[in-house]
Amino acid sequence: MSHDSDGPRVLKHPLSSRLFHWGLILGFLPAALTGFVLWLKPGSDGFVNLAMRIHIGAAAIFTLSAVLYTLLCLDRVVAFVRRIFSYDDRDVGWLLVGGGYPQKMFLGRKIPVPPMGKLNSGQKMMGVAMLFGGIVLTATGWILYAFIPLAPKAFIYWADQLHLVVGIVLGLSLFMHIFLGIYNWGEFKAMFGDGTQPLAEAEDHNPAWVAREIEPVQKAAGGRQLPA
Amino acid sequence: MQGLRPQELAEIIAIDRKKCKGCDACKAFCPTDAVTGKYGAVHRVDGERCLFCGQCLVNCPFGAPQDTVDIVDKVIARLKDGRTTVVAAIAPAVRVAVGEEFGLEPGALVTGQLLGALQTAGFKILDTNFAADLCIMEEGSELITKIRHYALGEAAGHAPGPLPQFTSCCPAWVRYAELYCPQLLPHMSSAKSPLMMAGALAKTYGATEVWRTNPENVFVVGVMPCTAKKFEASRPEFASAAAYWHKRGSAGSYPDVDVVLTTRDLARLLKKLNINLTAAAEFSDADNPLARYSGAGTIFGNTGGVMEAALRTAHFVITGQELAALELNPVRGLKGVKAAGVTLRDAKTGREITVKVAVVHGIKENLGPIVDEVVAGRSPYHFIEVMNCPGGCVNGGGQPINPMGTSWLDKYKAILPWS
Ligand code: HEM
Ligand code: SF4
Ligand code: SF4
Ligand code: SF4
Repeated sequence: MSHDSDGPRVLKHPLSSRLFHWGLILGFLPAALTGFVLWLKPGSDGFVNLAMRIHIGAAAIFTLSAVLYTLLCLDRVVAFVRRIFSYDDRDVGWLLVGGGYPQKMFLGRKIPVPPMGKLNSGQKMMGVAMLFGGIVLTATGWILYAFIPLAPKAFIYWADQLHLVVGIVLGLSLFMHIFLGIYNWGEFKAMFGDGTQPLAEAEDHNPAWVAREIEPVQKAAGGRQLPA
Repeated sequence: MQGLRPQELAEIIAIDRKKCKGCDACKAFCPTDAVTGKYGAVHRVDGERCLFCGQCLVNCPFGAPQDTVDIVDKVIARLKDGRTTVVAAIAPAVRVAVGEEFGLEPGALVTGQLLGALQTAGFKILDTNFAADLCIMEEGSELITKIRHYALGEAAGHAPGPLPQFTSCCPAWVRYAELYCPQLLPHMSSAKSPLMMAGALAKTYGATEVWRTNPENVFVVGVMPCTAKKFEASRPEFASAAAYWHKRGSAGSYPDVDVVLTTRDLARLLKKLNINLTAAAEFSDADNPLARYSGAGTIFGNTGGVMEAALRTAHFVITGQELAALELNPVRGLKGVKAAGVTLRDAKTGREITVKVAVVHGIKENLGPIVDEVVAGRSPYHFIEVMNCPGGCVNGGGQPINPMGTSWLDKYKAILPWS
């Protein structure tokens, strides 16, 4: 835990995770945007063709980031998978009130919500969708790109349908994710800054995580690192 | 449109822009690069280059290319009008494929049921195997004339076209030659295709001798594995029955073949009429000579079929003996081209000549080197069969679309987006 004007800070996103997140920004985000262009095909042939080139380039970045992150930071991937699959009745309570977001956004009221860990229920569900959806999109995407004539037509047709539906769902979820990331400005600053967040903020958003998982670093010179 | 005359059907194959994913797969099958469009963007068929072969249609995983010539209702109306003698001329490759549209195994031979079903629908039958026999006789005797003239040095009554002789029964191949290698046209057999012969036959001999009706009341429907046959039927030169009757004093102008149904169209027609092919009564039309045929025509739909049948005819005429089994072997270095050499001893002069024949199926993959040899004047062959579709008419563009088909297994190299 480090200290500055906001009080002590916690490390939420270590460098490897922040780099992977950049991989997603350069890979997943343009793939999703161009995916919508490929689906609806607005504009000239040249424009749609450009979208396809960007889609494939972004897909390569996305695939490479995911593979590297899995290979080099397997521990973090395992931790993430554990996290997104652990649910209890607090999640039910959280989901019932929508995490308090509707009340906050539309009524300007802050209501009590069940304490969350590092990821709230919504983020965990999104995480599950991204994990499976990402695998499905990557597999079907590369099949559609390079292996069309190796497979029966019906197989290709259904691979495309799957890619389309999952692509739309995840693409829309992505917009939601970006919106909430910016809405919770502190989260944005943590991910795009040095990965740390004021302890007070983490206590508000992720009380169970702060209470159970983090521990103060035995203050060494410049030591900021905390397990996340 | 360039090269198309007013009567001719244009744009038989068009891509549905709502369905096209721009995946480029069709480009790997199009023999003439007639499909245009950038990867990802909606693709289009360039009618000036298109052979109407339908290969893009049967191979697109997204069902985007469409056969735009839908005459099923028109045929049903003719069947029901009580005045018209509607004659179905059925190609060999249809009968091994149409069962698939009714849930049978691909390749199931359903000749009996098919003819029965057509009869129930009200069609008169003209088996194109019968016309194929005629076509073989024509092509065979033309070949004999050329061999006698060029190889055995006999004088011919007229100057026969040059060797090698090409078959001319595949309309996509004929259009390919017209558009891309017109210098080969003199090499084409002057015999028209079995379907066109069938049409002329139906409106002459068939009309007066079999169905005893006015030729103008005969409506000939080709039932074909092929979308290019729709184009062929619309070509204005195929009106020989009308020309025949003109000479005999009757007016009226009509094509030899009025319309063409593909195998898919036929299945739709039967379903619209609630006729189930699998339950159809067996065909009986014993006293219709046009529904009977020899075995030679049956192999017409296979690759090498035309050539082999014509060669048999030539062999018999020149040597006075039946040709023993013909073995076609792959030509070294040319994938997809098969060839054979048959030594004939002329019964008249005792001279010997080795007739070399070749079979090319799949214009896109295999035709190039063969044509180059002919153009350069160093083709070793006397007779060359060309079929546009890989594997011949059984894989024609009018056949049922097999969703699990991987007829395209070796195509991947051609469509890799970086290639
Ligand atoms: C990760 C590797 C990916 C690859 C290799 C890939 C590849 C492709 C390819 C080749 C197409 C064209 C498909 C066709 O022929 O119709 C396509 C379409 C599409 N992609 Fe991706 N893609 C990937 C990831 C994504 C992601 C992450 C999204 C969205 C979040 C996405 C959304 C879409 C959509 C919506 C389409 C249009 C599908 C259609 O119109 O049927 N893709 N992708
Ligand atoms: S194969 Fe079908 S979907 Fe792909 S580009 Fe051709 S017409 Fe379009
Ligand atoms: S019908 Fe044949 S020639 Fe025409 S675009 Fe399709 S594959 Fe090419
Ligand atoms: S090979 Fe047969 S099906 Fe294909 S275009 Fe030629 S005639 Fe038609």
